[in-house]
Amino acid sequence: MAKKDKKSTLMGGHIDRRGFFKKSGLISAGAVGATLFSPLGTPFIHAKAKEPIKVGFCEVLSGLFAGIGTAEQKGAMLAEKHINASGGIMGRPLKVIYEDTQCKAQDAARVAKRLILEEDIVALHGETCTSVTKVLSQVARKYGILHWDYEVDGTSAYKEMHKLDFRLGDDGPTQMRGVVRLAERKYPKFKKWAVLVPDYAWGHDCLKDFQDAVANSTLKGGEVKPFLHKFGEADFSGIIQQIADYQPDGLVTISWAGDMVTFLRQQKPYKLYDKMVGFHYGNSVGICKAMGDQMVPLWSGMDQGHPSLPPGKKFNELYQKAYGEWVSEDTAACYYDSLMILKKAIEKAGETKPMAMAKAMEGLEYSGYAGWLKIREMSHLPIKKAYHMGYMGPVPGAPYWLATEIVPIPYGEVMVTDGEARDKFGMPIPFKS
Amino acid sequence: MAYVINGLTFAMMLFVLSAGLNIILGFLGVLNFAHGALFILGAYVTYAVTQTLGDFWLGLLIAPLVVGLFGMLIEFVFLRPLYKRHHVYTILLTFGLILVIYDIIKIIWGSDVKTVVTPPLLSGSFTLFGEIIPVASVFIILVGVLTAGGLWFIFKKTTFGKILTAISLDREIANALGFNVARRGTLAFGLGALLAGLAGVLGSLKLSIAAGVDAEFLIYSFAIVVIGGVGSFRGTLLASLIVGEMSVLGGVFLPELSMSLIFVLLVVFLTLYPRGMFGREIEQMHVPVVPYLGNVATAFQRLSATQLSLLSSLLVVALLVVAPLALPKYWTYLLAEIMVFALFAISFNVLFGFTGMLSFGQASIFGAGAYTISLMLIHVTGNWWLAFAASLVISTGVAVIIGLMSIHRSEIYFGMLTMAFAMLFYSIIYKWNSLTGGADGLSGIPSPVLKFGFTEVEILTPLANYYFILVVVAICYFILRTIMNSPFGQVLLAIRENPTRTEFLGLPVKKYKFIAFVIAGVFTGVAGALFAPFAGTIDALASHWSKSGEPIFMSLIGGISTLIGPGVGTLFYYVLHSYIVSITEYWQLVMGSILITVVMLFPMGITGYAKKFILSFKSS
Repeated sequence: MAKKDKKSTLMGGHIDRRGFFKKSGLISAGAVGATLFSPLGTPFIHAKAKEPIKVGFCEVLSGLFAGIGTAEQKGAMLAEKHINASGGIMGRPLKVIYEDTQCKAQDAARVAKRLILEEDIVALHGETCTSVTKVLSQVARKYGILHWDYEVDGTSAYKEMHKLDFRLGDDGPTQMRGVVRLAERKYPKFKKWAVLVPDYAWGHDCLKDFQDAVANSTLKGGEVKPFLHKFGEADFSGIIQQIADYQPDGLVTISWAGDMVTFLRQQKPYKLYDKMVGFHYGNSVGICKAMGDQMVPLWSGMDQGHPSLPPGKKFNELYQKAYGEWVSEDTAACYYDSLMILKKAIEKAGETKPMAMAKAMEGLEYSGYAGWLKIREMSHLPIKKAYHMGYMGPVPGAPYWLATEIVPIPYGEVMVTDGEARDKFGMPIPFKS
Repeated sequence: MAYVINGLTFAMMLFVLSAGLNIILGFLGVLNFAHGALFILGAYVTYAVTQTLGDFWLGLLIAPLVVGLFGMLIEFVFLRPLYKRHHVYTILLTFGLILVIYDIIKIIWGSDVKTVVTPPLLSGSFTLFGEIIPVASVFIILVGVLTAGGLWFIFKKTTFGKILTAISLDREIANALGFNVARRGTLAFGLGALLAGLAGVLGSLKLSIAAGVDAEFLIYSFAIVVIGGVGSFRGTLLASLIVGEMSVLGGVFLPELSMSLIFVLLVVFLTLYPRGMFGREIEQMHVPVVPYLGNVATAFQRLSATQLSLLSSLLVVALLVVAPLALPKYWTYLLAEIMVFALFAISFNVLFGFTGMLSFGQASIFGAGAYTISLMLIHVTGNWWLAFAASLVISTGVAVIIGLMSIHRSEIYFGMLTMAFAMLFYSIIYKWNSLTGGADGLSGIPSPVLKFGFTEVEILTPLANYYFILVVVAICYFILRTIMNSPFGQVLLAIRENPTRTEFLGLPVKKYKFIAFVIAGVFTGVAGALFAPFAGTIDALASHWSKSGEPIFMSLIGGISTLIGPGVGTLFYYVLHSYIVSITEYWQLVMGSILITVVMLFPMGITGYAKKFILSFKSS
């Protein structure tokens, strides 16, 4: 062991490497051994049990969007637990394997391939980030695996859909039309719109969707002005000042929770929401939770899993029992339903072959904690009963703001039609093989 | 005027943060990449205090102290033992700390976005010349001014500050005069961390709190320290004002360019005025990255070094040829990806392990190769050879430009300049939506179709991809091996050991360094060109400067004293990362801890220790 030389070292020190190595080596060996041997152990214990149906769930569990991904994962885990508690799927246990994509396309491609090639999954689910959804869809097509997702995506994510691909979330055009339909009903005289646009594909897609929606509505002729901000914007002051100067009737925001919270906090002294009506695209639970009593009243699109809506309320109770807290994202209920929908499709198909499951999904109806939906046969997009816009305000007994007024908009007024899906998204009929 | 006030608010927040980074860099010579993580930790501690005690003002007091103490602990336990080594080790250690801190935050506070309740005293606003001025902004400006005053007082009027200044100017003399340099270093780091924590408190008044929000602040504070000048708080203050105003005003009037403008400024300063506006040069000792271990061929009496090296290389290639026969499909796919990144790491090591140049700009060259081949294959031609040639030309061009402008700087300045180029390149890729797809990147990149006269070979299946990549990487490796074993390679080693002595021998060191940079760039571009069609996708993050940290880490794990070492390190890193991500959501904590352990305890890497073992075994 080398001696410590306190006098002559230049800000130096010395580590007793041998001793440290010895101790840490023993601990590491133990940890590695336990980790390595535990998966080896389980097959022996469960060798005689039925082989599980494996499903891959790719989610963003680290980085800025981790809050969304973690909440959705919790929703899925609850569904997995309930499915297995009720006997599994066709008598076989369901095993969901969760992987972190870090919202990075390259990492997502790798984890998706691992799930498909190593874990032998029958279906792949994901994800929050549009770029990752596209990659997962491509990987699924390459390996002939069913891919489905219940998150929000921009239109660019729909361009590469294929016959084994299903999207059940309310997409960008639907949400933007929801805002416009609400405005037609409640604010028909609005002429000037400011749109806060995050400077990446999702934002650009939604801006265009909003402009198209206005142009095809009774609000036609209204002025739409975009205000771009970079992802992870630290200082919105310049943009806030510009919006204040512009004096719009309505302010539409399509930023993710973190950026939206920063924006809402920084706009407070300027009282933007006293001077104009705010409309947020959706996923507002995370924003309301973060802002607490500092939240401002605004309209927000709501997934049917939102705790303001009856199905979402029931799910929230379930979630509280399981996790001891209120849902932190409205999409948690969507992810619960997503697994239930797969279960129904497998039971309808009677098998887990991808094409059979896909055929079973087409036309499938399901009513759950995220409301009722039917999966359309051609576009693999959903039909729902209504798209809900809620006006956020304080509700007694709730830890964060919920909708104090709800406006249901018939889904036919907001949904992307099959014909449109072909034209707008360039999906040929039949799907690309 | 409102824009100016808003810019000033942002500038003051940046000043407090950057002053802390300046202390750490200026007085300890540590490029602390974990500074942003300390900033967001300060915000989280503020949140915790306001949630539990209901008092923001207590948070203002407690959070900086907590982060400061945490900083002192980091310095004492992890950083201090590394000061005698090459600065790459402290840099990598701080990389590891980021991962660990992020997951500690996740474990304690979860992943949801948080906010701090603004205290009533700071909630309002007032009007000045018709403009709305938030009280919180005035508070932040005030704290910034007080911080500037406080730092002036500490470093000009107190004994502690004067001793720190003396240490930063000449550590050896300060040590010889009997000052406890080590202890004061710990205190200095603590002060730097305290300022990061204080900046976090200020940030909590304006921002959402989530791990990752700090990334932009780290880049800005790094730019400020460089532009203002290391060791100068006056420079930091002025640079903060410039960067703060540029950011706010640029975002309003030039949104397409605002991100890039600051990096252009950074590049200009590092190229032309590395001392910044008011700073001094960072004291740099040339320390070899690893000690010379000796020639392992001496352990094998019948073989020369060249023969042994060739044999082992051929053995590795042979193993890779037969590997798919034994490995499951996923591991074949992963091994193909590993080979691509092994080439990336090996070409990086031409610079680092063989020439002693620590570059953070390799990701931009990788990205240039990847994006060029992708755009060519998607929009221009299905001819892979043509697309590949174009990507080589572009990535080599990027390497030539970065090399020409960076070569004149040495050690830490070279690293900072290459990082600045990487940031600039990333900002261009990110903003140029119409060409690159911006943050979402490009997808649907077709697999290679190789045309040989009238014949076409489609590389469609995973196995075909694997062998295609193996052939290309093997050819690249043997070319690099030939270059490194040539007299040119020997000169690079001499430069690595002592550039001054090499210069005195009459060899044009800068010319050799430039050529080495371009050679490394060529093969990094090849790696990028291989990767994009293989993955089918490429996005802006592949060019982010932090991506340049991966080949550094892989090289260190594998060992930088051999050409194959980084390849071994890449294999180890990918297998470990793939396994850890699949078994725990706290993979950042695990990977960060492993990185820290490797940096602290195993600096020679796998091949380095293998070499050492063989030599000691034979000699005994």
